[in-house]
Amino acid sequence: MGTLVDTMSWTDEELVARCVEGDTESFNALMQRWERPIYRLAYRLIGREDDAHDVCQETFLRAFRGLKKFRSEAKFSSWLYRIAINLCRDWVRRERRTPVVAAPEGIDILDLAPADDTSESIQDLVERRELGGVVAKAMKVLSKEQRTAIVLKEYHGFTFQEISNLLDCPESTIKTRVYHGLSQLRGEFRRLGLSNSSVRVEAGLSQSRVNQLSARES
Amino acid sequence: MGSKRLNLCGNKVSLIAYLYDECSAEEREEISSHLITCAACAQEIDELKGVRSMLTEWVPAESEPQFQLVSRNDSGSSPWWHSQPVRTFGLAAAALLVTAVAVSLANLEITYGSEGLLVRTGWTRPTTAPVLESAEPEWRKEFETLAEGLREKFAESQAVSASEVSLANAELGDEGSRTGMTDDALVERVQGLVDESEQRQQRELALRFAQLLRETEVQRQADLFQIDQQLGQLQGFTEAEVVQHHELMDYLVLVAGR
Repeated sequence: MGTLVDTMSWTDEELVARCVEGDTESFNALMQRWERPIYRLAYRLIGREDDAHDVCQETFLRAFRGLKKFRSEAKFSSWLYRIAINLCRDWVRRERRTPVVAAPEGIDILDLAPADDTSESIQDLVERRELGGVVAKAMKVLSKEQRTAIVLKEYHGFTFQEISNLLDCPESTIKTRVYHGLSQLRGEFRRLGLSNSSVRVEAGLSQSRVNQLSARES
Repeated sequence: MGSKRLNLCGNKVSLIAYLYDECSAEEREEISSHLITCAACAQEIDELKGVRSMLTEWVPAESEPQFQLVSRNDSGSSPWWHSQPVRTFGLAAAALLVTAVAVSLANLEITYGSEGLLVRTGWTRPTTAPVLESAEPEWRKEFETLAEGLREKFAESQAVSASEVSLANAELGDEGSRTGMTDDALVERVQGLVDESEQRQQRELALRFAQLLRETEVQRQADLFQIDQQLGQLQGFTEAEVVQHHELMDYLVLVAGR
């Protein structure tokens, strides 16, 4: 139990150092700490549970193999995210080009194609007010660059500066991607007849109210 | 002030920075005061906030990974379809090698038909015959040298007996017929010895052949058994692979049906 408490209090970089010295238990501590965020990242970027698991596992495997190359020039978490993002990008690219398994004889590839998606239409989800599913579907209309930027910003709390480092793009590019992504999502929600659950500028809403709200936000 | 407001209005980068509160206090102040006077920008900000609040609804499915590093992390990571073909190929190569050796040894006949792989041995007389022929010269050489030696001894003994005979002739004078008789007996005796030796050698040779045949038979049986075993193993592997393929197919069909 004592060791558990110890590893909990250590920083990622301390755990990495211990692991490089041969203590594989520290790597388990690192995985315990980061597997959920990495899995969620992969899940939101790819959209499929089992593939997200695979990507997550591969991320840790690569991190473990390349741990000696990690020279704490960056945060361990940033390094891990970078590996995961690249794997997701490769996965999406590969997925578009070729099917995972060659189609067996007698089975039309087109029959297999919709297998990855739930049969529920976005309208069904809207009717049942399953907004999570609606968001998941709506996110698919975004380009993968917009999607990645929004996922990192909204669900992982990175600053624009951090995202720009992770993706090797200028900060302004990331902001533009987030802006266009959000705008596209807004269009999509509107098309589905979903009124935004948060404050909307209703007709007659006074400027002072807007001011109040902005002040509260900041 | 007017020009600044113009720059701010509709500036996506600034609006996004303001939306996520990642701007300096000064910039925030400017945008706030711009939003008071610009309804379009104020609406934009509010709608984007609405989209953001919608995004919080999306929570990934509950089943989350629980990875654990075990000591055999490297070998464990490679999926079965990476290691299997190599192994099967190696086995196949080994089996092929054994078969090739066996074929060269035992004149094997291999056919692949509807009943599967059939291995039949063709180890019969024709193959033993060349061995016999090849073994004979050695034996002949031995025999030749032996015969040579005997002939020499015979010649020596003849020379000795000849001198004795001449002595006896000198002593007895008229007993020429007796010396002839001694010579004949001697030749007969030597001939007998030679025959005996020849017979003994032939017996020995037969014995050696029998031994050789027995040894090759045992070796052949062992080889055949080994080939049989290897082929069985190989078949087992391919069957396992076929089963795995079937399972994969079933899974695909199941998934396609969903």
